[in-house]
Amino acid sequence: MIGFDLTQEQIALQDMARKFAANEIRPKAVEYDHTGTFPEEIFKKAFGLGLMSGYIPEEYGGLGLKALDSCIIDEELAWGCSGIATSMTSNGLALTPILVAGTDDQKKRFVAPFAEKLRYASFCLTEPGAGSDAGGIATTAKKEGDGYVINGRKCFITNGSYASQYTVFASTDRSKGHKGLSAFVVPRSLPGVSVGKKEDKMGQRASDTADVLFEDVKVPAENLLGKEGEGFKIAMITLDYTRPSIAAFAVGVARAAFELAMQYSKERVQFGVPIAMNQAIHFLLADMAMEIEAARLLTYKGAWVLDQGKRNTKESSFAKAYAADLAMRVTTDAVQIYGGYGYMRDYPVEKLMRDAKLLQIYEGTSQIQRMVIPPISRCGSPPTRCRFTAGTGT
Amino acid sequence: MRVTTDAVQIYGGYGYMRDYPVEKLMRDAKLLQIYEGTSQIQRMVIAKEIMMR
Repeated sequence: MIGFDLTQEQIALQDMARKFAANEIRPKAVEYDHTGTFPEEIFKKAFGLGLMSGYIPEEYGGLGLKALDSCIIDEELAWGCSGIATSMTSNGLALTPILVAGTDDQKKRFVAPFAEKLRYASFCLTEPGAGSDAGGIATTAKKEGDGYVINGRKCFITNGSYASQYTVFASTDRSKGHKGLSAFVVPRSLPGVSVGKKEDKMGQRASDTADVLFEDVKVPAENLLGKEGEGFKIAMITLDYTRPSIAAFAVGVARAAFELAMQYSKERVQFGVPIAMNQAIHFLLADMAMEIEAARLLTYKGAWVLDQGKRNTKESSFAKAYAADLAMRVTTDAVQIYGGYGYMRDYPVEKLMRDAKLLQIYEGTSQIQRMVIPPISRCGSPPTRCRFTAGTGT
Repeated sequence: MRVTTDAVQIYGGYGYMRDYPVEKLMRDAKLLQIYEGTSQIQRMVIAKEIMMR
């Protein structure tokens, strides 16, 4: 049975997120893009509406939203501004490792506080020498007494400057490569944690991206997620959860660019007719509409498979790569339709094009998504339970 | 536009930062498709030229 209808609850969530994006995010997006300041005011309002803690299970104070519900919201937020949306959903990325691999006690201590009050958490995987290649991670966690000592430098960390808690992937055994990785919850307040340089990005400039440094940081053993050596697995399962959200961001960005290009092409008159009547433009718009619909359906499918309790690596990679590449094409074509005006900062499509590029890079580049897809596709992807079963987590 | 977009892609996260040169090249490239006749106008000119010969 296939149905494309959203539930009443999903329509209500979509409506709330759409209004929030239109009234609170969009009017301020240009200013935050220019200044690169952190949109704290917007986050305060979003948190009040439950838009920043919805994914947290009800027993830990959230709304217990499913992956598909979150995607519906994420498309709207990114339609408003993908930089703000990236920053707004960064807690979800940072806390998902705890939700998939943590004990009940760890969830109470490290997740529940984020449903109570607006605060920020960051996911710290990437390093200067290890982006997609998580096995090359140089940050170490050495067992010492009844805890661990963490040393290393993480880069491109979303909300890094503002986070009060970091989910850090560090090697407990460098000889084992990615199988020697372990995941830790590291409070910012621990001695030795510091924030380095803030990045000056092409786009998504409202989101904070910074280096985070760990120098002889003593972390108690109870902050280890799962067991030693399970870090890579935890990181990959986390990305299965969050990839549909990035795909939803891409759909939102593409939709914003399409709507603007469509409207402009009806207003702009050349050779005596609106340029929308010109077949070259007409076909660009038709392709945008068609492919945005396809990207949204792939996104929903990637989230839906996860919500069925099945492994969604293939479907979510389809969605992420397709939607991100599409967002880049659509925004580039939207600037094209606007012509000279589109290249100017006074017009909104220029920002969308700069923002879109990051969608093809973060949380696994479009190329990495394609590397993830083939082996699974070849073996026919037997449906397996996605939930983390090792350790004491659920 | 394609080459510069892919160059940023090859640089990955670094390519998106203003400290690295490809970010500027990608922003610069877009204007090339627009000024002195957009890529779409070029195609209209080409079509006219090849049809008339």
